[in-house]
Amino acid sequence: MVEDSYDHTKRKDQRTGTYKPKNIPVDDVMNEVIRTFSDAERIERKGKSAEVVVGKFTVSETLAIFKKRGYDHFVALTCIDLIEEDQFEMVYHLFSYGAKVHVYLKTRIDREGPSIDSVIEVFRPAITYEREIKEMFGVDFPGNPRLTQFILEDWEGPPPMLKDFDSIQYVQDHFGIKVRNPKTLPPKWKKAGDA
Amino acid sequence: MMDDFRATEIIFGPQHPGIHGNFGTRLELEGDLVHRARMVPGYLHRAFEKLMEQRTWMQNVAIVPRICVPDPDVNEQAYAMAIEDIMGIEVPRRADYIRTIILELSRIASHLMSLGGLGGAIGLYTMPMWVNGERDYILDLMEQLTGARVYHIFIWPGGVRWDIPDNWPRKVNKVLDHIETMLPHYYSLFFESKVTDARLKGLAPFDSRWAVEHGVTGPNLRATGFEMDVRRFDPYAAYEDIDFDVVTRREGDGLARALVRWNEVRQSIRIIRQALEDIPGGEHRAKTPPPLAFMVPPGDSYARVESSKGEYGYYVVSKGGKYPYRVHVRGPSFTHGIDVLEQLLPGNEISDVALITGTLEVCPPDIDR
Amino acid sequence: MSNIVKKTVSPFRALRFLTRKPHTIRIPHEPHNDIEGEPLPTERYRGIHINDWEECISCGLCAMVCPCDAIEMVKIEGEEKTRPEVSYGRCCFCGFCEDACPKDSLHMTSNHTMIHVDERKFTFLPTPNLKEFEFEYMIDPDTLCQIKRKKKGNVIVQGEPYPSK
Repeated sequence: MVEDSYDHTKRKDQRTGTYKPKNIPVDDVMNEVIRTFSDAERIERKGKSAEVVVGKFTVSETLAIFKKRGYDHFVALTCIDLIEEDQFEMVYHLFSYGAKVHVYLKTRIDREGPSIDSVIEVFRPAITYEREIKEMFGVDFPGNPRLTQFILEDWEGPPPMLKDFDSIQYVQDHFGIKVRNPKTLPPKWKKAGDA
Repeated sequence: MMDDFRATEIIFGPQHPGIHGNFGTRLELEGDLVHRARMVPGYLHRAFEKLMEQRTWMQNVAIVPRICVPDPDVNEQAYAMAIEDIMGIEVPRRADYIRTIILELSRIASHLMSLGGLGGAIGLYTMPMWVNGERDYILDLMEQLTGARVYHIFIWPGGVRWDIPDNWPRKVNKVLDHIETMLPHYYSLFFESKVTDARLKGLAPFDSRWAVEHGVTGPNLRATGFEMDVRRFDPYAAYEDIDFDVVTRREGDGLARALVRWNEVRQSIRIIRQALEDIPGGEHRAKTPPPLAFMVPPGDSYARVESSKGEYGYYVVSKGGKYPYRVHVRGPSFTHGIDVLEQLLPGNEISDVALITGTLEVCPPDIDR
Repeated sequence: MSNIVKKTVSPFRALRFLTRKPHTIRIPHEPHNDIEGEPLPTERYRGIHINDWEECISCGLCAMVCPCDAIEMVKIEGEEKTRPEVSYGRCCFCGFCEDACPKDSLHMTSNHTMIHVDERKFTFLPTPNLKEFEFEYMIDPDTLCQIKRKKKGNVIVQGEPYPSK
């Protein structure tokens, strides 16, 4: 019979410590970030969310400020291939359990030889997100020890999530399958320089 | 001392009944204790994120539920919410209530299935058989409302696809009554069993601070005593009008995680009963462009919902036009299944590996996508 | 003491479940019913397509909206217009084709028993007179895996492609 509360420490080491979410308004944290870093820029958003664009080299420090102020739930890390501008956009999603505000922290990196410092020292969950982005977009994360093969086994082609990767062509070349032409064709994204 | 250390490496999986899908683990064993664990995902990779960039906004509604097999409706809901946020669509209240009912039915089915999986992992094979019987009643209800048993393709941007059939609420109530009468039997079968007590109590414990640092969400976070539920702090659908309790336990071990799921089944039943009673009249879908001319203005939005496994999020980026520019799926198992498991498994016995994976309710399809 | 009695007696509580009907049903010998005993699947079920050829204007919207690219407009002997042909190896049964149809001619029936050995050849031409079509013979009740020949028109024969193309 399971009681309302039972002694759970009898078999394994119980990690101890309590957690109280901090409730600090997002405007205060934003002001602090903008004061600290001259290249940070706040972008207005509707609803319970805030957006800030920072430079590539200040991402870790900005995230550390947010973490210290209670924005300690690392939701996700998204990479967007902005092929027309020849850049990648990295979006760090943060959430505060106290203030209940979602923060989009965005930064841009070059598409040629993409590299950005790892943030796993600040947010541990980023380790898996960075590993996936390394594989899907080819972005390098110096400082991340686990940038090993993740989902794509025995993959020899280019990073598949890039906009100029033609998946239909790849399937036809590598698997010998004749793909029927889809009736609705997605737009072909090209680099700014290519005509 | 180091010379005496001999590790055996075994590859555990990729198929195991404890989890919903194929997912491998590379274990380094010292005797029967796990010394190091490395997860091997990728068996269910279907490139949905790439695929969604090549389908129109409405065609993607047919793709998203396939990302999570046991709890498919949260995907449709999060995808629809993100698009509604960018487009500024006001969802009719009736649609919100129908969505709530669907999501909670799906949560009951998923929680029952995960408890059944736990039963299978510890050798109580009656449990998976029984709960799958109850789940089948829920699938019958889904079939009558949505036209399909598993991939419902029912919630779409602007509302839901069809209205509720006439006698459907009565059937829902009957199924809920049936599940409620059966719940005590399951409790005595599973939680009063000495096997459950011995295997789950004190299994892979962690506290709230550790959980938040490692991105643990959902029932696993609530099992550490931290009262955090997306339905409560960022209410979507009709949850703000509905009275329910956020279930927590303070122990943070495997048994607490199972008990949180167990008690959430009761709360879900309570939510569905209220929603069926208070459901307002009116339209079940807002006016949206026809599917072939469905365009979303430029913008981006992250929408989160509470799935049976944790926080499920969709980050949708639009550059205008008929196709999404980027859709990123944040599955709860992406953190639970890789990094959290790799840190929880060392020090446990090999027989507990499947059980820890089961109590965290790792769902491989949403790691691989 | 009472604990011992409880522990001894409690296994026998399970005996009452002996009288209950099992969840398992033997399709197709037993019908699949919901909790109130009404037959399943209902009309909403998204199964095999039917198409009213007198209504169909061969606009091709169903083929355009299909997320799986399963529908192709094909030319048929003796017919002026092209008609949608569904490849069930690709179809995901979302029902968007039914929603997109402007003349309300394409429908999905509640029948879902179909089988073929080669998913690439599993094409099916929805016809107007499918209601007379004897679906129950599509799966042999004894072996559950054989397809028997049906009446005129639409035929899915094991291992053979659709003949009229």
